[in-house]
Amino acid sequence: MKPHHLVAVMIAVGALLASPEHAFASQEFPGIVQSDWGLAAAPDCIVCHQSDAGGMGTSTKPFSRSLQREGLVELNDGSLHTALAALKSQMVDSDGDGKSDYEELLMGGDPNDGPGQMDFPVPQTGCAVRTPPIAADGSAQTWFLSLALAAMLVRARRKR
Amino acid sequence: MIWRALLVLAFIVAFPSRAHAYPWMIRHGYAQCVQCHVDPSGSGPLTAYGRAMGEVLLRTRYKWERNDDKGAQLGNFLFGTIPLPEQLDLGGQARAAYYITKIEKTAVDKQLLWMQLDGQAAFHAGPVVAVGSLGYAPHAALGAALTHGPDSNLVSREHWLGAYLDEDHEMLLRAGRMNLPFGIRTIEHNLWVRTGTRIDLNDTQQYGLSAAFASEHFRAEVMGIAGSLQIRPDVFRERGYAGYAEYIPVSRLALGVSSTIVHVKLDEQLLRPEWRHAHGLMGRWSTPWDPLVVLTEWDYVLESPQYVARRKGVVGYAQADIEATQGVHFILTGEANNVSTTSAPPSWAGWLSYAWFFAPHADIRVDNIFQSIASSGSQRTNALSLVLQAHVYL
Repeated sequence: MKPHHLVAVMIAVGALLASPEHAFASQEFPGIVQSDWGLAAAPDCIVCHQSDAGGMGTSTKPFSRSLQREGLVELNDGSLHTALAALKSQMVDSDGDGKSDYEELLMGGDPNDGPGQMDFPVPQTGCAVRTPPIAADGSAQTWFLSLALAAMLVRARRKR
Repeated sequence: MIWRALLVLAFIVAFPSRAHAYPWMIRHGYAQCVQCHVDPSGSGPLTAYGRAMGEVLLRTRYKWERNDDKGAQLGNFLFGTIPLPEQLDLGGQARAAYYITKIEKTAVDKQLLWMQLDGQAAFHAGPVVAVGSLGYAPHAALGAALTHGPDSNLVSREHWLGAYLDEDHEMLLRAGRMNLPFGIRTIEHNLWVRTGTRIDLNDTQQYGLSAAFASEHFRAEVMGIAGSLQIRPDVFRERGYAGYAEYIPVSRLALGVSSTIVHVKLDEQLLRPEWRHAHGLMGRWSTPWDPLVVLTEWDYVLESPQYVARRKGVVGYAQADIEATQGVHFILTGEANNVSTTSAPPSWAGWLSYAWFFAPHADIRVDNIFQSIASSGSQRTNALSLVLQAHVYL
């Protein structure tokens, strides 16, 4: 194997090794809410996220923002335990409907649908110049692989 | 040449480079950052001189090694295998960490994190300098994301264009996305003083216009902040200023002040307009006992959202870095933080860390962190963390 082939292979392997670990801890969050607050069932992802797909940066519902205010950090189970305990002890009412988040979830309600909740924009990240949507499952890796393949193709063309 | 350039670019992107920021280099008389970094306030791409110092002063030297110029060439980009033109500085860094955290009354939490996988480049043409970084973040770093995924994003932490206003390169005017000039630039971005002031080297850079000055006894920078264009919509962007000034009476002592005030139309969590202040003092001292360097920063933080309670208080740290032998560091850090909406007692933390720059372009680090976090009333929550890090730069 020639040196430039070796480098290309290293790039490809590196890109694969750097593959994302999909929301490995956040997937446990609904279960933690259920157990810490003694709920009959785990709440849906949309109690915090904009959709059931979840994902970082989409956790913007009032209930989630209250948790974040109490120190919730993505992928950190311990911070969720701490934040849940704080919300429960302070009887936080994220949507301003007069019932605490704890009471609402205990009764199977939604802590985000009260009159105090307005339609605020959802923060988004990424380059402001709009580009084609990128799959949430780690498509940045394809940039690295494409780069390596392009280098190999250019090299092959030069040989001809 | 094209394929080589592509391969080099791909290599530095896929196998990273990071903002070095080792303020304890004042031990060697480097109170300024500008000798070793293109950014006059530190971190980011290294200059050729900085690379040489990394090899000569930063890492452990062994008896069997050459101590001449050829030995020092190992510090160059890709270990000196690819000579770079004088106008170009390239770098790349990878930093991985394995976290084990135990918070009182909760299960142990373990995580493997890729903290940095970045490539960096600086190009010089006469008085003009351009700097850019491009990397991959498997998770987090959303504030620096170029792509729009919830994770697995391409990131660019900084990209700016500048011009030196004098022949000695003491004054630099620049525009673009930059690290905010505030406090001590350190790689420990999870210190409370960094999270509390919302200013770190991770992903809190902002776009703006900055003027920096660095001379033998004084350095300063002030930046007008236009917000992070990588966060949308506009209501979530911070606007204001940040700056610091540092006096260096002797080469082993630096004393400074920092200040920032920004306004955001909509705080992401409170959903209200908010003014954010931080103003503080910082110091770096290489003590008469050569192995010991002391660093400290204390900031008053005030966050004032509309209609709801203000968060205010003091956050800071003091750190003793003891370099037992070249490249081997024992680091003792104490932190305190009482920034809160209530008059809760302060939280405090202690770090016991060990870092070894054991080979060219490589180091490992272990942090033991104990935190006692004050909550409502007289309650406290204790947390213990073990962080293992490995870092490689090209």
